[in-house]
Amino acid sequence: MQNNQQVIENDFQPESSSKYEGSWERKGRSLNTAAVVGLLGIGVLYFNAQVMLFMIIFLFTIAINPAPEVSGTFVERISAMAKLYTPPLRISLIISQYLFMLLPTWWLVKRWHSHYVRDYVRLKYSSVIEIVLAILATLAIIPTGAYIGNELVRRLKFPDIFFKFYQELFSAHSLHEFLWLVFIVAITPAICEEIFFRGYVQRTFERTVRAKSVLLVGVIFGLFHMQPLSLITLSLLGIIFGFFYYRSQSLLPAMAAHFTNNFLVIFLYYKEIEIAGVNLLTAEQLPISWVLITLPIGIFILYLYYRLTKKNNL
Amino acid sequence: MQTTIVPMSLGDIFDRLFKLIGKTALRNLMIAMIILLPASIIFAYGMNEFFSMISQIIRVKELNEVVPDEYFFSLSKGLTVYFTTIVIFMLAYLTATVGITIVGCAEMSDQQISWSKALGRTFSIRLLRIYGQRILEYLALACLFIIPVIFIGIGAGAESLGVTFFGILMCLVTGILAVYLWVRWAFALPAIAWEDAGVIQSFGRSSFLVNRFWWRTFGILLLLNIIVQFAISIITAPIQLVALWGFISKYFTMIGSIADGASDSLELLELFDSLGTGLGIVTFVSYVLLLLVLPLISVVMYFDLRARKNEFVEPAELAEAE
Repeated sequence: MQNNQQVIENDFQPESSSKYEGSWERKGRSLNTAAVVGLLGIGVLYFNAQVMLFMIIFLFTIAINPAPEVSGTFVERISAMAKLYTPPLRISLIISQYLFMLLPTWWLVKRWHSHYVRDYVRLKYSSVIEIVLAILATLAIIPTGAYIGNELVRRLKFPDIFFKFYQELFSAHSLHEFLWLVFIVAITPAICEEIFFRGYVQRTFERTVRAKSVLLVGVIFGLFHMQPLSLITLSLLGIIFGFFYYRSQSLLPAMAAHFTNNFLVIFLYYKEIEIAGVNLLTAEQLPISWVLITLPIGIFILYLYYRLTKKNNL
Repeated sequence: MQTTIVPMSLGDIFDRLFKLIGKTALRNLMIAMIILLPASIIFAYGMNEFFSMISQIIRVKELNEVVPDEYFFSLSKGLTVYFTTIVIFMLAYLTATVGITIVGCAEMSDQQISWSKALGRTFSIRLLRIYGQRILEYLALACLFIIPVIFIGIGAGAESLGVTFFGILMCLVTGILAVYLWVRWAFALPAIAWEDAGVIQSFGRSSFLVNRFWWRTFGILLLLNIIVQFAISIITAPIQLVALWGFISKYFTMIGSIADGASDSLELLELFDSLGTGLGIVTFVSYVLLLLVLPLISVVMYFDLRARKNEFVEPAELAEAE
């Protein structure tokens, strides 16, 4: 027992006998409080630092290379604005993910919980089959998430003009830019966000509320993106990533799943692929048949994953 | 029974605060709902009246060019209703804060107090004292800015850059002074709610507690307030989407038509029609969530500062005295 809360310890076995020697642990403070404070503290730091970084980089860019006067229609002006904002946005995104999300998380675990940060966040190997199943399950669930998101966008009459801005941010116009985007949009969040959300927040909640942490942190993951229209989709993904983390007791499958989801978005923007006659970029909504086919497959893969990870004695 | 509370570190304050929120959440939610719900309904009505009044006047102007005098009368009526409902809402928020502060202080003193008892204690002479304290505090802070604003006004009127600049400089200095006083008086409310202090006495009491710990108090209050505001903004974002669905949908339609080059200024007016109730719901939810946390931050800090002033006896010292 630790401060009236049931603390569950089942898997943390660093080389030292003193598992939790951080200051928060030594003082026997509430673990749930640690998770909430870490979540909100790093959240405040990350978002504010990102905005400030963006402004600094944007002003610096404009000072070096003054923006040309843009005239024309509203759509043309928005497109020009998107082009102007995109490079500073991408740079601020990447810097803030590593400096203001990953680094503080690492520091927090080390200071509050354990010197064995990699063990704490479960940055360890998992079987290849677990990673492959995680990727397949994510691919199968994506159409359902996209369908829900599209439906909300459609019902709210979200203007196409805003998509152009979004599209500009995630579109690559050359192979070199595509690889750069893969690093910014797919690799970086898969590392930083997974270590933060799953490795720290879910891991810390898990010690008191076990499996409920999957649902809790999944919804928090959705809320944290501050995109109300994508809340259901992002929460669904967050829950699935959390499920992989919880069942496999490793960050790698969740990282692979997160990478798959983000990579798919930029790949589709880059290649403008048509699947079964549907242009995924211009289509207002996916055919419902896609959801009806892929969702049961996704659920079946998740069940397989559950069976496969039974060995972890959860 | 004399409670023993020792001075807390930042981590202890977080820990104590979250435990206090968990222990008192249901009771505090009850107090917040009972007091804020009627006030929010009145607030939503006020918003509706105000916005429909504005859209009506703009519509008339669109059609007639000249706005009849009676519409200005309706506008002033709408403004009066609007500001009255805001004042009612603020008073309700303050009242709920007092009730929640009493629950929090009791819990910190190892006493369990029900929401009904806390409300009973709230609706007494101390509520009037708290209203009085708040009015005095805001008046004092507002008075600080009178002279700088006069300087800015004179400077602008006389087109004198030097005088305007001096006024702005004075504004900045008084801004710092206002922040200093705001922190010094931050615990006047718990002093009245828990210690039954008088209005003037509460200012002195709060100032005494903060003395020698101003920077620490300022830093922790600022940090906790930023964190709470961030948490509330995250939680209420989807609630805003649902509550203001009609408004947002019309707004997007309008943006879409502007992009297509087919905008209609009357579309803007329709936006206002769907705003009042939605804003009422969002305001209610946001303030209920704020009430569950903000008063308790003051409570924990208040007890920490009291402990730093040696107002709680250590068990060892108590045994020694006996």
